[in-house]
Amino acid sequence: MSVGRQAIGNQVDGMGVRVSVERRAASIVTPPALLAALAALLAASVVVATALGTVRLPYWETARIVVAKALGLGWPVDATHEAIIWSVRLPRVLAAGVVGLGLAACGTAMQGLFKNPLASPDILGVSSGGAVGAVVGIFLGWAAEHAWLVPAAAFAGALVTLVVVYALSTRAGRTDTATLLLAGVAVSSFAGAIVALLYHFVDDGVLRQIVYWLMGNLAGKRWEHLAVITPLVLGGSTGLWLLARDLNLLLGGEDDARALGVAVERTKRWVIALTALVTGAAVSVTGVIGFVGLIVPHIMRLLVGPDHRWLLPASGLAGASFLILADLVARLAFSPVELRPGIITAICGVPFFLHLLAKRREMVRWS
Amino acid sequence: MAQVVLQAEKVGYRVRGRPLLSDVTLAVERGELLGVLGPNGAGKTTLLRVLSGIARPSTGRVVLEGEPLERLSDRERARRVAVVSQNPGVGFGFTVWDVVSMGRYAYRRFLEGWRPEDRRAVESALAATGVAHLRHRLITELSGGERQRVFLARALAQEPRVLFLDEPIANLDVRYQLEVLNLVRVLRARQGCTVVMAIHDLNWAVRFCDRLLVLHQGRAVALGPAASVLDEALIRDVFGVHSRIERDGNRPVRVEFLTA
Amino acid sequence: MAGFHRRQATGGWTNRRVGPRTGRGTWVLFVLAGLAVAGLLLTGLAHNPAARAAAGWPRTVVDELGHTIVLEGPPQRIFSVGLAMDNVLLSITDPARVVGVTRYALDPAYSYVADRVADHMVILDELNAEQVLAVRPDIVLVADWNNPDVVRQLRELGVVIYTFTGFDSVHDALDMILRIGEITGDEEAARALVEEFHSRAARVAQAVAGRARPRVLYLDDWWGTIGPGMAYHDMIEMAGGVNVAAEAGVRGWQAIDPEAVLAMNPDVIVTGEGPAWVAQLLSHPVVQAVPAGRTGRVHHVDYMGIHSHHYILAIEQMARLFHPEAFAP
Repeated sequence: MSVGRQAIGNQVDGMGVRVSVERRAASIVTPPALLAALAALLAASVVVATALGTVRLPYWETARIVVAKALGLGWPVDATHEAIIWSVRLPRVLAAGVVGLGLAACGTAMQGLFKNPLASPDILGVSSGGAVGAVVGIFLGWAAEHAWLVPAAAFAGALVTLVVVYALSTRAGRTDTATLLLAGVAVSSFAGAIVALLYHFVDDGVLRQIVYWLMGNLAGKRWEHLAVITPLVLGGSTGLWLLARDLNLLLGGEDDARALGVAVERTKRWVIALTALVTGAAVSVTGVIGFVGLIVPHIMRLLVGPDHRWLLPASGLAGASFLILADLVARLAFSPVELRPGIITAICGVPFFLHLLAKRREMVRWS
Repeated sequence: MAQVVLQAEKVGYRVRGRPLLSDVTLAVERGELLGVLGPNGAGKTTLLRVLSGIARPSTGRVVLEGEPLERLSDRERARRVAVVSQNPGVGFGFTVWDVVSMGRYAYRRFLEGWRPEDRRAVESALAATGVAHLRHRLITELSGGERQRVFLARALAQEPRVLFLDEPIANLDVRYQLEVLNLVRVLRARQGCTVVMAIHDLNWAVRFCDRLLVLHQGRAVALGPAASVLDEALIRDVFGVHSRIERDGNRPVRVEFLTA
Repeated sequence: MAGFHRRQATGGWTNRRVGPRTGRGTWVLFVLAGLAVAGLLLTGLAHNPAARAAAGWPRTVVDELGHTIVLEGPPQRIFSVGLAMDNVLLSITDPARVVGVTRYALDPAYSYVADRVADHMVILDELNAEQVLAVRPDIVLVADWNNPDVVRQLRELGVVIYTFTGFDSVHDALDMILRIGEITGDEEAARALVEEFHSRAARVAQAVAGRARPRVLYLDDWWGTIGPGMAYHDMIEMAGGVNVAAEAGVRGWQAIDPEAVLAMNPDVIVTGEGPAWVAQLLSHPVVQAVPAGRTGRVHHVDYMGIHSHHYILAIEQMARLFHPEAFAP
């Protein structure tokens, strides 16, 4: 039958013919091993990112502070250092992890749903809608007031955008994915125009705040922010993972999926809603950070294959580590100047992806 | 007396005002191999989609084993009806085992794991289609014939009562064409399922199908065994070619197309 | 200005005749009593740490967002997160008491006090919680456009934050000087700066009084101009000109259509940008069609655009440009 394959044994098939069982080339890492490695990477990233920062602190002291605070021990620690580690750095690192996980998971789901390699969490226009919400909130002076007004406005903007985009592309209960894509792009552009328009009516100070927000920003994240976005992001991402089999079947086309028993419209609704929830939550707190949701799923797909049951958790873990480390580099590269994490994600993500792509072309054939 | 397993009652299907199917009524008998014939654009694929429940008819209804198809949930329907479409799209790195196990989706509850009957169904489907030895191969690495058999196995894993095949041999080499059609016939006999197959090669249809349904511009113009349905006049009207049919007694054996 | 109470040390004698000829014993009693009182007062004063420095501590100040801050004594570790504040702070306060400034303060192109930035100061690019916390400041001067999340974070960690919001007009700048003086305890120096500004401005006003005011337009390289409430508007008026943009209804900062310049018909155009922009303007057809372009009166004001008492430099320059004959040597 074929030359150069290793025959392990013989088996009788239904046609009464003896054939040899062929083993697939073992060049792909087994999924469980990869997940374990990614989890370890995440843990290491959290540790390293907490230990390093603009202000140099000895590692043992960092460890001591974290252990003391986490276990509630009353060890005497320097109050300022404790404030830096526990109140400034650790929440920021964990927020980066949560946001990275959410964006990567959503990117995976979007790429699966649209069968489009360029799909990312922003594709539904959710991030742009969130941006408009946030900008309007900043414009109305909410940034200086309660800590939650601007994130809430961003989240509201994200959900409104989702409803608009969904309504534009759904007729008689059926959502056309091509229209969804176009509607998302159109709404994104529209939102961008609104933000640009608002620039004209704001003074310098507000303009600066808007730019902060739009460029993606992890500074100033606190435990309260984490407390709200973590359940939303983890819950939503877990929801997407539960839909992994459906996403697998949808990869073959909607008709084929329907023939196999998938409730296609309902699944699409769930995936879109969960994506909006997770992306909205992430964006509302950190602004728009690009590339994580686009690059990470691709890279993971090349390593672990297209099966969403493994791909989603792998992307999530990898996305979390990626953003944590990108933020670390952003903080330290030109210390004390702090770069936007989005710059680092772009610089790192693209070349790595190109490299992997050159090596594993057979995995990425999109039908 | 043949049992009716699937019925279409005055089924019509419109897309943006254009009728792709009009007023199609037919009854599919249990255990038969029904061939759906017609030139491109006649509505073969549309009919299969409507009969299998993937698409909802604009008018009329489809009844499966006495129950209206639209009343069944997607899962319920997938346990009784399976479809192998013309160009199944799985251009990704799934293994043959993964692809065939997709057929068990309709049987597994939301968070349930593999059950013995699931495993049995998949193994049986792999064996029946002769691709068990390929189970760890990536589907993108297989030849056309092998791939077609894998999709057939996926449909079989659903343990359906009715199997719909849309042009199963259209893109295959001749040797694979014969292989797959023989396989279909064997499966029909062994598994006892009913097969509705869209096919555009008249000779294969004549050779393998019990009955033929001929579609022309969205309408059913003939239904019955090849002997009573196929004649030169019909072929000229529907396909626009002159032909000569060799018969063995009453039964057509070969259709020869004539120029001019 | 926020009220605070000055405790005046009263002491000293009053020369008052106490009835008819007081006996020597009575004088001795008075002397002893006076000494005792003086002694008590002095010990009281010595034990009161707040009175070690200038009187008036602890004091309550209110920032421009309305937050009330109580200062026990003059802050010894002041962190400034804004160029304007850096400039004022380093002009009136001992650099040893300043623990952090922005990097613009170091840059001679932006800062009048670059030479006063000392090695012990932390140089910030933008508001960074870790760096601020690490130097344990007594008070941090922030602007309302610094990242509000980080400001909130610091406030919740117990850092004393004073927020400035006024960065637009000349009045804002002078007010900032007085506020910083109040915060640091260097009110004298602050007042001196403000008074110098006023006296120089008064001299300018005197020189240009009664003269015909030229029509002046401010243009930056975004084709933006300004109206009432912005510093340049105040400065143009104080230098003896008329801001035509204000006449045309411009408020705050607005980008205008070059053709609007024709309608405004200015005699003089000023800009804060460099000679390159001046040359571009002079060659623009719209500018060439107005008196400013025809007479070549398009000038760049050679003073750094910092929001501070240094505005007087711009005013003096512009007065010379608008009324050259008033300043002829």
